[in-house]
Amino acid sequence: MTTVYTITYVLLAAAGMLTVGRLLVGPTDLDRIVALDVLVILITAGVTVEIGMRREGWNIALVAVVALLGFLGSVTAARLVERKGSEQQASERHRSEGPEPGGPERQEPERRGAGH
Amino acid sequence: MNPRGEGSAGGPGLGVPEREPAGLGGLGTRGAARELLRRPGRLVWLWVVWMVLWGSLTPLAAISGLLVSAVALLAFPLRGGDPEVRFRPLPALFLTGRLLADLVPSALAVALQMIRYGPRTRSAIVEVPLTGSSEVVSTLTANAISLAPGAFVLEIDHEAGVMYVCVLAADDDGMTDRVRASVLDVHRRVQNVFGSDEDIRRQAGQAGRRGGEEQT
Amino acid sequence: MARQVISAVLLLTGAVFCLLGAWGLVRFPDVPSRLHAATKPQTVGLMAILVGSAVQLAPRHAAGLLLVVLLQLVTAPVIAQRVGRAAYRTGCVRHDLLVVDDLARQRGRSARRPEPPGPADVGGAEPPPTPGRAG
Repeated sequence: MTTVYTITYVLLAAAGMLTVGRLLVGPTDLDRIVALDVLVILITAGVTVEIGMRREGWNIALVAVVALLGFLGSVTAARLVERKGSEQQASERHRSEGPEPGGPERQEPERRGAGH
Repeated sequence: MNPRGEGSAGGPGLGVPEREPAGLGGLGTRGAARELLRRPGRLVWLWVVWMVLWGSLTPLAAISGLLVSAVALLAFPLRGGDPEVRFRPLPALFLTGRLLADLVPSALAVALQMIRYGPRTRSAIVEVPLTGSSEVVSTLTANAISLAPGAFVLEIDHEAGVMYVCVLAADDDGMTDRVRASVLDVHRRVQNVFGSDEDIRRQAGQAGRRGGEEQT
Repeated sequence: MARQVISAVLLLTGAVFCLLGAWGLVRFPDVPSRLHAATKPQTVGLMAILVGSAVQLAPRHAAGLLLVVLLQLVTAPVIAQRVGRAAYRTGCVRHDLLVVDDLARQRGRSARRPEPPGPADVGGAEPPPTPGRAG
């Protein structure tokens, strides 16, 4: 069983290193968010293996809390990027094509609905 | 097959951007309390989660769990549930089983794509028409399909009753149709669990015409 | 004994899936495809590891781990959706790698296509993906 745990840890560590690689390389913020999310999952997995190995259950609530916080962080960060990105795009469009009446971002929902 | 017209008629107030105009949108504390009494199920759910997390049935944990659940529901009141939403236990069991069974193959499919194509992997964004259903059903469908057939939703256009899903593309021609079919299959299963009676009736009608659908 | 075998198999399977997911994160060309790698293989991997550990534990602790499984099943799709939507809206999708794009047709601005062809290719040993046929 010890070999099983060792192999599991080695595989998880390799996964963690690949993920950290993506975290460092990016290239966009969204890539980093995804990488961080995966990293949280890998940490959760690692702690769980430890829990099973020692047969101690006291920190399971902690695992749940970490998983939940990872989720909240990712979703919040994605929202932030989306908002930032659309503002940037809007301002770029303003610069390149001149201001559109009403603002391009505001009109989007209607346009989507009107198609087809 | 063009269910879009039905789609907008079947589910009023599906829009994500426009919140429910009146009523339960902004609940005061008193409204929240009334909502809590009207739907004690939510309290029970939160309490069960709390108890499972503690892993022991001490009176202290039980009482604190009730308190925390109640405070959470009072502080963050949910909008009143859609009266159209049902819950049918047996189809729910089928849905869960199917999802779990499909999860591993879809994970393997992603791994296969990665190994075969790697950085040359191509994606596709496919339009899937949803036959009218409540916001709850389309949201749950969106959640389910991103695990099982492996397609996450980019946008849901509630007015048109259309969903745009992003998948890893396969090379052959029938890909779009297959994606659509598998997403609609999950959608049908979710409707079987949570859909309104009208949804079920519409499904029965469609099942009768299944032969004609095949030709498209 | 049987418990040990089940646990070992699940742990190793889970770890392999986690590694596949992380590898996909490095190997896939753009945000949506990486999201696919981050949701499915990772979820399966984590689930296998959680269940594999839960097998070793007393039922009351195992219930807690199953709760985490449920949590992952619910949250992974939500993350995929939020990040995927943000990726499309901020132009992080590589349009040259899209076989079909029904959403671009639908959106009013698709005619102009204001998004750049996507962020520069990620570093690493991989050669830049050619927009030609995938093979």
